[in-house]
Formats: sequence, structure tokens, C-alpha cells
Amino acid sequence: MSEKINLLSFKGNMRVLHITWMAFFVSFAVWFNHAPLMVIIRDVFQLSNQEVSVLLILNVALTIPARILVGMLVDRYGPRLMFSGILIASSFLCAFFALAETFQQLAVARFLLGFVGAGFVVGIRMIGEWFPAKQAGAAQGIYGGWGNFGSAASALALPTLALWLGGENGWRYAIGVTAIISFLYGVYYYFAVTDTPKGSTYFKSKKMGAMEVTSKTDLVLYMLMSAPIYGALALLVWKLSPAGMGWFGAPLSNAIYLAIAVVYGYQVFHIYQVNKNLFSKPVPEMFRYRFKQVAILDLAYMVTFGSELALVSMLPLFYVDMFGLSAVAAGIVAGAYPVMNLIARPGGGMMSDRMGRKRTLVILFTGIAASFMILAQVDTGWAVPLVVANTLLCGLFAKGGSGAVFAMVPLIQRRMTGQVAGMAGAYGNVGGLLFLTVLSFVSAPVFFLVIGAAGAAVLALVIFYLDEPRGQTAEVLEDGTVQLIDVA
Amino acid sequence: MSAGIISIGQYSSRGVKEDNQDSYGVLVPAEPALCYKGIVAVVADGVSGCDGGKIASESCVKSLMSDYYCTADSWTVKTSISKVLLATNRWLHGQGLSSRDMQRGLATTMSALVIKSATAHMFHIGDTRIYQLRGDKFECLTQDHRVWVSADKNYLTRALGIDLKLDIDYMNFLVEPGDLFVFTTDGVHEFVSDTALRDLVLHCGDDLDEGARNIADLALRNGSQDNVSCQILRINQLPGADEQEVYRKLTELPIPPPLSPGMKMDGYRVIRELHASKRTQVYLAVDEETGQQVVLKTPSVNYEDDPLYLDLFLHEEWIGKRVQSQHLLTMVNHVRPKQFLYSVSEYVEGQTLRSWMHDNGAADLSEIRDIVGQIARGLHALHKMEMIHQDLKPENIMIDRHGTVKIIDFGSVKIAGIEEVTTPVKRLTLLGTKNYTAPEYLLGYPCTPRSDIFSLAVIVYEMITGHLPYGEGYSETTINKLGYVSARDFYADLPVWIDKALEKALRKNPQRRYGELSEFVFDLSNPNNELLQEYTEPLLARNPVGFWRGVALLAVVLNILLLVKIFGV
Repeated sequence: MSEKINLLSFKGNMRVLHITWMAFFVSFAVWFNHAPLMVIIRDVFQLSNQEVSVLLILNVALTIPARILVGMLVDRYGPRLMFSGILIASSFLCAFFALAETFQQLAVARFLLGFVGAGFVVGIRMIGEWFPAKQAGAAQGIYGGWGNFGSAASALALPTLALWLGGENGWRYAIGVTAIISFLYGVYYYFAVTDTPKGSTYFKSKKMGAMEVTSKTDLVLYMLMSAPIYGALALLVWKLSPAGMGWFGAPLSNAIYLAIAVVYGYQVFHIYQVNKNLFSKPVPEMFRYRFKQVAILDLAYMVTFGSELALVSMLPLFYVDMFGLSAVAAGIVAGAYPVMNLIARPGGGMMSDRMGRKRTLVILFTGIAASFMILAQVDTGWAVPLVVANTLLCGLFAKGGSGAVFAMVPLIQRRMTGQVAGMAGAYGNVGGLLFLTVLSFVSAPVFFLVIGAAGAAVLALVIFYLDEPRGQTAEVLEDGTVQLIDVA
Repeated sequence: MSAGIISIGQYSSRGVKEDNQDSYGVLVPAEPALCYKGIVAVVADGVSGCDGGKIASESCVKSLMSDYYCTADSWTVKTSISKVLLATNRWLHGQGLSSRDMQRGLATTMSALVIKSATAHMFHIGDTRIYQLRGDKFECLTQDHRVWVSADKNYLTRALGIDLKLDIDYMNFLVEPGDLFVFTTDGVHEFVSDTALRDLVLHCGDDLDEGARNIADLALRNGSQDNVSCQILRINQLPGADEQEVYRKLTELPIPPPLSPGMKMDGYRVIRELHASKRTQVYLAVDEETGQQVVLKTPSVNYEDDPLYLDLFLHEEWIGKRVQSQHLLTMVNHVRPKQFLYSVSEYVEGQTLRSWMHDNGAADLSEIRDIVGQIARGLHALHKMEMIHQDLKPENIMIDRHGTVKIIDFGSVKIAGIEEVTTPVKRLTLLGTKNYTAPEYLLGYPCTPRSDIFSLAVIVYEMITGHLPYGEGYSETTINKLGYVSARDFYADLPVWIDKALEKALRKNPQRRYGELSEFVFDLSNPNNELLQEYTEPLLARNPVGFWRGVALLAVVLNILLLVKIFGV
């Protein structure tokens, strides 16, 4: 096993990393294969703007509960089977979407495809099994960053492909191609990797239930922070209820509200169950941590990853509608946005390692707030290259922010890394849903302004409430001697 | 010293006799013996018929107080005490025989309590007694080994030193703070009723010495003609039950940062990284003082707050220091204080059995026997110390340049003596390595040395055939459906008797496996006729259920044919 990550290597754990990020890449390409083709689909189905926005929202809705489900299933079945399964299942959903004849069918297919977004969790587990702690951060950065690039591949390739395959059904073929790729890669993945390095001792994974908190105020905070995850789903139902689109009848929407409330109630009870010993005895020093740290990272990821999901979904249409670009051109300029992932996300992680966690977040969130607020000033008078440059700047900060958030996640409390990462991830999807819902009510510039404002709010939280995680306990002297840092 | 844990009261008098043949004592050792071995409290009564009564009782008490603490820390209390008592018994018995005068035989009764962690272990032989008072419930824990031949005459039936064959009563139970134990010799309890004893104990308050004296005095007043001894022990708090303390100890030393070549830590200079995984980093280093090459193993920061992991990591070194064998990795003793958490061991230059298997496609049997024999000797050294390896696999076995085979990883070893220590750290979440772990372990049943025999047999099977005995799909969910695949399916020239030995070592039911490593190793070199007979036995004997099922099926078919024939449907 090498000392440093060698990207060109295709042996041992590097092979697993490459194969796994590509699996995530494919899953992301499938998840956002509709965005660049939306212009065409809108024409074919004669969709209203509201209907388009509902499709975009539905695409990220199911991901929120699916993450929790997939997190539990991956414990039981292992990452290899889960990733293959997700890719193969999504290829059929994708085909279903390609063959849709009505808006309803489109909507159902998109809703179910939200499941694909949960693939992220699976790959993170895989990387964790294969890389030692020293390399895990960098490996996960590569996995996340390069995998997210899949949406760029969709944006760049699919409109051209649709045009080339031609005709009214060109978009169907283009989507169909992603379905075939996803199916084939799913099968390949199953045979290409194993869950753990050969001969490694297998430990029963711990139950991924509710998180353990270590004080009573943290318990309350945790219960409160769990609410938005369900609130986002309620928001979606509201959007489809008589009060919004009128897609659901009142009885149905009320029933779903009730169901969501019951599930949340159960979650709160479960959180209490896991943590009730807080009321009887003190928590040992080695387990103590502050939940506000988790909460701030959740909200930070909601802005960084949420804005990414929202922008990837809306940018192609934005360029077409506001600047009159063709679908292909819009796909290409919109595809430039997720390209930033290649360097920004791993870069954010590295910056965090070198410059300190809190300082990095402050810099990046200042950038997010400023760049989105500038983008909010956009009007039809702007030159397209200027708009593209501005969105790239937004992307640079936002994706760097995602990297920085995940660089800090393992430092909160090691043994709960999976759970903290899972919760932050869920918040990322909540952000996507939230911002896209905002977009369905307001114009694009106001939408950008909202993201900028959210970034500013998180910036304030980071400055005033985030604690720098306790640093290294050891230092290396000039002659190479490793010694304890004297805390006193 | 550790007066906080228990309080003691003692009193003994020779009474009307010339000399006092009773012995008694309590020992609260310092840590770590307190944790691994616990507190010993004992009373012994030299058998009056013998001149050496005093010598016998005294040597019994002494050996429990000293020899017991010299037994292996990894042994259970029961194993350790049994070995000590067996040796004492043999010595006493031998003393009696060596003197021609039978009157000079040495014999003694003994009742002892070992309190380790939250459990009391009671050992008893003869007619001394231990009573327990919990709350206001007072009961005698021991049973007198006496036989009454008439209304007023009885004889001691069992004692240490009487017979080479030793039969000791043993039981264990959980103790609670506040429990009180009263040890008495027959001079006391034959003249003081249980209720009187109870009342005296209840009323002595904190002055336990006073209580013990009152009890002995009452016995003398009631006409006891024997030595009278009484010892009272009160548990104030359980040794080592402090949860916070356990966690503090686990995190006492910080995990070292990632090391790169040239870095120095506590006098070791890192040469290079040998291996890094999710769980540990392993470095080759050199001791700058002695120039010795060593291997440093550091825990992964992934587990800095996982008590189970840290507990296992600390145990690895603990084991290395306590088991010596040429076929086990040797841990290097620290002379300098440690600033960080890591372990130091000898550097074994060579290859793992895994890469040896890669290099030797079709290995020859004599070479395999040599390697297996060495692994078995290493394992046997562990088993002798009541340790079970639990994670034997080709990756954990090294063959050095001289052909010496060593087991190198003790990260999953189960130590019987440590299992007895209650701890807030939850054990048993580890499952060993897929394919090499015995079925009972995968299914969550307790493992025994037989589980290691299974793992060793999987390795032998793999060395011979290059395949696994239950196939690649072996896991806790599939185990019931899988059957043993004969090694001869892959290697037709393999003698049947070797395949039979493998089959026996690989049985899913541990009860039907080999009980001893040595038997298995022996059967790999010598045809075992018993196993071969099974091979040629008739179907009825080998698979009775299958046989009768077949008969029944045949009968049904014949009957149907008959029906068809008769009614001509």
C-alpha cells in the first residue's frame, strides 16, 4: 500500500476508488439526465413552468428518505451489492422515464429516480473500508468530486446526443443511452470489486439508528434539527396539494401530512430511547461532543450541496429562457458549472486540512454569499460569458464549501462519522428541495439572492458558534522527533 | 492499602487444645493483580488426627495467597485455583507418604473465596464453612463433607492431602457492595447456631474484629473443644467497577500521528511503512539505542473513541508479553516510557502464508505438514493459556527466511481470564475473517479452542487445494445450506484419510470436531482407521435418515404402481 495516493495507479485500493467514483459518476449522470433535456421535454409535453419545477423538485425528494433506507441496507448487504442494485434498478426507472407518455408518468419516474441520489452513501462506506485513515479524506474527496461531475457529463453530452439521434424522440434515446450505461456498469461493478480487502477481519457494523448526544440541551437541539428533514417532504406535499398545484386532493395530502408527522414523532421517540441514559448517569469524557457543531455543518451543507443540486437542475433552462440559447449550447455552458467539482471539492478539503477548519469555512462562505448576491443582479443585458464566469465562481465556492464541510465531519466524534455524514447529506438534499421550491415561486435572480442570503446566515453561525475542533496532540520537531504538544 | 474495597475482621484461638491448627487470611493485592486475579479470602483447618495439621493448613493458605497470584493472568479463576490446589494436594499427599508413620500425614480442610471484578468464586473441601449475609438473608454457602456413622460420631470424608484424587466444590455468583462473608472452622459452627451467628454478625457494626471475637468466644462458652477461628469479610465496593476509570485508562495515551520515514518516536526511528489499513498502520523502525529492527503498530485514528477497539489493541501487547512461543510473534519490552499508544514487536523478515500459497501453487504435503505443525504449536501455546485466537488466516501467519512459522496478530484473541472481568466496554462485535471463522462464531455462539481448529483446517484445505471447503459463498446466512466439499474434488491424488481428517476438523458442529489440535495434526500424517471405517460404512450407518427416507419413498412408489396395476387406471 502506497504512502501517498497515486491517481494513475489502478491497483489495490486505488482500483476500488476509481471503479467506485465511476459508479457514482454514472449514478449522478442518470440522476440529472433530465435537466439538460428539459427544454425539449417541455416542448414535447407542452409543460407549464409550474410543471417543470415540480419535475425538478420531485427528482430530489425521494433521495431524503432513501438515504436513510440505503444507509441501513448497506449495513446488511454491503456496498458492492447495494451500488450494483441501485444502478441496475435505476436503469429500469430511467427507461420508464424515457418511455413516458404523460406528465404524470414523467413525474412518477422522476420521483422514483430520486432513489439514485442515495448512491453517495454506499460509495463512502466502500472507500472507508479500503483506505487507511490518513488517505481516507483525500480518497473521499476524489470520490465525491469526480462522481458529482457525472451531472456535467449529462449536461454536456445528452443535448448533442438527442440532436444527433434526432427527431421528436431524440431525448428518449439519449435518456435510454444513460439507462443502458447504468445497467451495464451496475453489472460490471458487481464483478469488479469486493466489499473489503481480501483477508480483512470483519466487524459487525454498529446499528445506524439515532445518534447519541451527550447533554440534555443537545438532545433537544437534535430533535429540532431532525424536523426539517421531514419538513422538506411536507413542503413537497404542500406544493402538490390543493394549496399549491392541486395535484393531490385534500384528503390525500392530509393523509400524507399525518404520515410524515407520525414518522417524525417516531423518530423523536427513537432519539429519546437511544439517549435516555443521559438522564441517569454522566457521559464518559471520551464520548463527549457538542451537537451544535453537527447542526452548523448540516446547515452549511444544506447551502453548498443544496445549491449545487438546484443549480444543476435549473441552469440549462435558465440559459435558454433568459438568454435564448439553444438546448445544446445551454447544456454546454450549464455543464461548466459542475465541472468545478473536479478541483473545488477536493481543494476545499485540502484547504481545510492546511488552514484550519473554521477559517476555511469562513472564507468559503463569504465567497458563497458574495458570489450569489452578485449573480442575483443578473439581467438580460449581461453578456453570457460574464454570467457563466459568475456561476463558475459560485460553483467554486459552493463545492469548495462541500469539501470543507466533509473534511470536518470525521473530527466531530470519530465513531459517529457515518451518522454525522448521513445527517449532513440529508440536509444537502433538503437544501436542493428547498431552493427548487423557492425557484417555483420567484424569478431566477431572486432565487440566487435567497441562496446568497442563506450562505450569509450560515457564515454568521460559523463565525459566532462553530468551535475549531481540537487539533493534533502531537508535533514533529525538526530532527523528526514526534512529541506530545504540551497543552498546559 | 485497598482498605476501601473490603473490611476484614479476624479472630482465632487455640481454645482448650495445645496448639492452633487453624489458618486463615485475606489478601487484597495491588493493581494489576487486583483486576486480573482479585481478592483471596481463605480459612483452613488442619486435620486434628495428624501431627502436621498446622503445617498442612498453613501451607494451603500460603499457596493460595502466593502461588495463585503467580498463575497466568489469562487463566480463569477456576483454572488457576484448581491448578494451585492440585499441586498443594499432591505435595501434602507426598509428605504423608514419605514419612513411614501414617500418623504424620498432612491433611487440611479449606474454604476459599476469590472475588474478582463483580464475581465471587467459591472453592470448598472439608468441613470449614463460608456464610453469606446479604441484607438480612443469612445462609451457609458450603456443604460439610462429613459422614455420620452414628448419632454422635462422624468422619471427615474429603480433605486436601488425603487422596491423590481431588474433588473440590466450586460455584460462582455475583457479589454486591454490602455483602458480608463469614468464614468459620468446625470448632465454631458446631457450637454456635446459625441464628446466633447471624445475630452476632448483624450486631457487630463496623468493628468486624470484635464481631469475630464474640463469635469465637460464644463457641468456647458453649463448650467447644477445638480451635476456634472466625473471619469476617465485608464488601464495601466492587474492585474495578468504576466506568469512568475504565474509559480514562483506554484513552490515557494518545494515538500517534501518521509516521513517515525518518520520524522518531520514543527512541524508535521509522524506516518505512509496511502496511496500512482502515484499522492499523504498521511501520518498520529501528530502536536507536540498541540498533534492533522492530515493527511498530499504531492504531488508526478512525477508532480514537471506540473503546472496544482500543481495548483489543491494548490486549494485543498484553498477550504478547504473556505467551512465549517460537511460533508466536514476540513483543518487545519497553524500557523507555511511552508517550503514545502503539505496540512494538520483533520484525519477522519473510512472507505471509498468503503469499507463500501464491508462490507454491501445488505445494507438497510434507511441506504443508511442517508449516501446519508449527502453526499448531503456536496455537497450542495460546490454548494452554486459555486464549482463543479467533482470527486465524493466511494473512496472519508469517514464514521467515529460515522457515520458522509465526502467528503474528493477536488483535482478536479471547482471553478467558479477562472475560471474567466485567467492563462497560461491550465485547463480541467482531466476527473474524470471512471464510476462516468457525460457524458457531458466525452464528454468535461462544467459541472454544475447537473454533481455532476449524480455522486451521480451512487453511490446510486451502494450502492443499487452493479452494475453500465451503466455497466462496460461506457466510452466516448461507452456512446452513452449505456442505463440505471433499478436498479430493480439487486434488484427486490426495489420500482419502487426509480428506477425512480435514472433514472432521471442518465439521459445522464443534462437538463433532477434533477436541485437540494434536489429534488433528497427527491424523494429517497418520491414517486414522476410525475415520476410514466411517468412509466404508453402509449407508444405513452413515446416513440413517436418508436411508429410511429412501426406503419409504421406494415403498410409496411401489404401492402406487401396485394400485395402477390392480385397478388398471
